[in-house]
Amino acid sequence: MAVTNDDSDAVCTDSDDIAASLAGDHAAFARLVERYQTDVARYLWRFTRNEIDCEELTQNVFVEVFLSLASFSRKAVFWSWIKVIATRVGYRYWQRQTKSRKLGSVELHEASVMDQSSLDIVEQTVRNDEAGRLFAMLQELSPRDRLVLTLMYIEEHSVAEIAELTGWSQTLVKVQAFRARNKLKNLVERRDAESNRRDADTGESHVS
Amino acid sequence: MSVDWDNLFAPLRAEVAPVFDVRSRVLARLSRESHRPADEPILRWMMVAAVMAASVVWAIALPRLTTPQEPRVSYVALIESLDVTTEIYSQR
Repeated sequence: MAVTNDDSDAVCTDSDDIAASLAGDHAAFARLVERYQTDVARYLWRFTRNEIDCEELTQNVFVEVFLSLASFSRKAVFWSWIKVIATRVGYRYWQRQTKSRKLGSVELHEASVMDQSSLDIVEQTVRNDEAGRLFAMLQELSPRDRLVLTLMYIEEHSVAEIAELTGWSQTLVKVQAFRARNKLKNLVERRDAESNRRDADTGESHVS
Repeated sequence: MSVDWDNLFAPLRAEVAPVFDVRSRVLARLSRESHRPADEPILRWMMVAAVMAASVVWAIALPRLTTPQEPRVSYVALIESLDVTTEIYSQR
């Protein structure tokens, strides 16, 4: 994390800038944005893996931060508070994506196959690397499952931290993680079986 | 089959996010937000509430205005009570 929250100067500057922002000083808020935008973008990259969407969500986070700045408790750490908002923004993005994918699959089914080649190219690019393949597998899970796995294994948060970020109870986090792991395990096994079968098919064709 | 979860997620964990400078865009959006009247949603809800209240009042008042009201005194009951009184007097 690039933000130096442990640094007392940074904390002092944060509280000064928050107070000034609340008083209507946009330059102070710009300083807050400058200080945290890299961390917010880095965090939202976990949700998007797409530059355009990541930038837009980063903007959304700071707009929400500004609009709810009055509710920020001075006792809380500012970055933790921003991260809760960013989690909410990222989760909503996944929910919208899931909805549009459901609608899109119907439209694609109804549409002609003339765009199939371009879709294949896009999919090929997405699945080009190991991270892309894993991200594509995570996209098959529900937003809740994705969220708990992302926070637990990519962001490496503890159960208590995930509970704080999501607003779920710790028990719910554990149950959700258990279910999500099982679903992802099934997907991994299916992918491995398919790749083994493909390898076997390629081997047979080479032999014949 | 057991999955090494830490190892599985390592490629995504290792990814480096692009760096953006969103300051100017955020400030532009905020200035647009501030130009929007803040009480617009409240006004909209007040209008909805007023329309709903008017429709409820109309729904209660309309049947009372259009349907004839029942007489407050039941004439049948009155006549019956008179008969009983007559009978009592005749017995005397």
